[in-house]
Amino acid sequence: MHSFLDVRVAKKSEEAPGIHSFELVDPRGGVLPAFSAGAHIDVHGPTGFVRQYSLCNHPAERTRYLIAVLRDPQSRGGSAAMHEQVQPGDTLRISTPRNLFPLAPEAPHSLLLAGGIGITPILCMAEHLADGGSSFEMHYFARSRERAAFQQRIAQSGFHQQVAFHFDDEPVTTRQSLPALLASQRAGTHLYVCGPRGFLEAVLGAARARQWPEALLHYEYFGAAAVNAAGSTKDTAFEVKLASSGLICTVAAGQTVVAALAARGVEIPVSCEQGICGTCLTRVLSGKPDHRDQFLTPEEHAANDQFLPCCSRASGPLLVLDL
Amino acid sequence: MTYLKNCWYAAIWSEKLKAGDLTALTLLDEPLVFFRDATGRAVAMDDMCPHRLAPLRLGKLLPDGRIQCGYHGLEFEASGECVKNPHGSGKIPKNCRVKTYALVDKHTLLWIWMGQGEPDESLIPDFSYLDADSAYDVGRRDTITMETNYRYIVDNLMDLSHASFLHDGVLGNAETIWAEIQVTQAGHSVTVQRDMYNVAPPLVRDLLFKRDGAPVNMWQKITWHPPGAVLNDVGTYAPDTERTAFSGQLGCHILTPSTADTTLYHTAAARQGPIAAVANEGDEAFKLRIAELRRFAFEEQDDPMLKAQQENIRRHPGVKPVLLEVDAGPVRCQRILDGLIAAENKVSEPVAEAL
Repeated sequence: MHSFLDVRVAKKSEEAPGIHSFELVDPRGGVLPAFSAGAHIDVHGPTGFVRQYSLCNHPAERTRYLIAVLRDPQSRGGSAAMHEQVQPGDTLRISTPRNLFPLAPEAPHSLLLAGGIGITPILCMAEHLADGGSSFEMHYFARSRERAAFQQRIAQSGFHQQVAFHFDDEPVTTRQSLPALLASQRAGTHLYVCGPRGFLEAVLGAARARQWPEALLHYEYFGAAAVNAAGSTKDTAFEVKLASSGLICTVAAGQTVVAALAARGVEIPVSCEQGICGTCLTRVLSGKPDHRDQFLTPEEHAANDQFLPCCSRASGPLLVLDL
Repeated sequence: MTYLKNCWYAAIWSEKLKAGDLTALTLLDEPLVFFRDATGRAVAMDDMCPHRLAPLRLGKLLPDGRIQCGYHGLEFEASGECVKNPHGSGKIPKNCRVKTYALVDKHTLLWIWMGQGEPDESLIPDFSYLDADSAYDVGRRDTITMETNYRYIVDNLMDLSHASFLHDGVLGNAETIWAEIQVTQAGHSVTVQRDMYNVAPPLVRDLLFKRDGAPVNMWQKITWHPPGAVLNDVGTYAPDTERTAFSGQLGCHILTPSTADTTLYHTAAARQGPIAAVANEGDEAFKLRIAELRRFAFEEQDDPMLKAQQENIRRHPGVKPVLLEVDAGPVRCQRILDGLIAAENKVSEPVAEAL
């Protein structure tokens, strides 16, 4: 059973251009279910959408949840509705907190990396680590100084000396500073990264290139835990080409590769239809898959020479399949 | 059946192998006999006298720690060497020896190495909570003989979603069906974590926690080491408190294939966490009650289901299971195990040819 709570919006603040924070409290003034650093809640919005937002207040606080929402012009409307329609005094239905991005216990050192709105769980982690006297450092990457939310809160925190800002429009850019940053870390450091996909891939790619063990890499897209396969409208269309016949088939945004090929008379055997069983495993001859399955290991994902067409997609315009 | 050979299997709880006993166990389809020599050291050897191939389990253990064949009285030392032929001139042919196996007493279990490779004690998975000098108060050490292949038990353990149905009321209930599931792999081990929030506590959880039936948050974090060593870390805490204020258990589920259809299931649990309800019945009686509930769940609920499942699988050899999201952990474990077994057989092929 999944538990729901109705909470009152106590406060809505603009943290940066296009970023609003919302403070959520129990309508009767009681305590809220506890959460740990990295946790998120599902928010049921006014227009019927459900979105995941990371909690960004101190995890020891028991009377409020703080979330921050970036107004994303490419979104499905959830963030716009949060910005335009949700006002202080409104009631929102949320889930109890869940954590898919937890801190590892007893890490010798933690490297926290936030990209843009990915600051939300990272800030919460920093609060927790600072309180426990744990060794950590935090790096906050944003397009510009103006667009970085929570700067004042960080400046006033007890750990502000452990935080470095990196702005794309200032001399040392993200791309330049990342490799040096990773190279300077001692062995056994746990890396936590949250932010947009491109940022995540850059960080994880750089870490894997330096042979960081997978067990030390912790990540979450945006601050939203949504790990959805087919059907997410963030997905875009792409093409697949069959090496044997030369058939080129367009896979629409809301469609799986298996469904797109079936519509053209090409049947790929499937069983679980959700990236678990491996029945539809298909060799990829060129192009880079966007893996969404749990069947392949991280190493097999990185090789990019096979994918599961029941749920995985392409990260470029075309995949050539060994079919 | 092809088993992974170059690894450690838990044969028997050390306390169950008593001085003076001859204990016969079939492991990996090999009949073996276990006993303690004159110094108390545990020994494992093939259950077969090299003379007329009679089983040594039908012989007896002599006071000096030798094993005597019950058929013609040949005597063997712990090393497997024949040291006495009571017949004729008493000549002992060079080939008159019994194959023995490396056996290590660790974490209160006797671990056996049945492969050709060099036994490396550091490969024994960490179950140090079971150690006699650990800080944990370990409950009854049980071995259940399951009438199913060990790999179906790995599937069973690495997908605990079945607890809501098969162990309804005892280890799960309707409210524990929904869980946030996370599958992670580190080297060759796989961990499946299930977090459940604000749910009615199943019986064992409630007994270990506050005994008030109030809703709880709970986790199960189960880790598998190939081929069959599983550690389950569970915890329960109140929804309005920190996760660190918990009551839980560490439980081992260590599986050793006996034959393709039978598995030795070694299990024992210890309480963990700072919160604990006062046991009305007294500590020892409480530990026994928990051990008995666990045995009931595994032997009387899991085993009949897995046995019947295996019969169906055998009856329909071409039928593949239609898997669900909850199967991600089991699938990962079986893929790793298949890979290890294939790699081991590839490496040892030239050896087999040379023989």
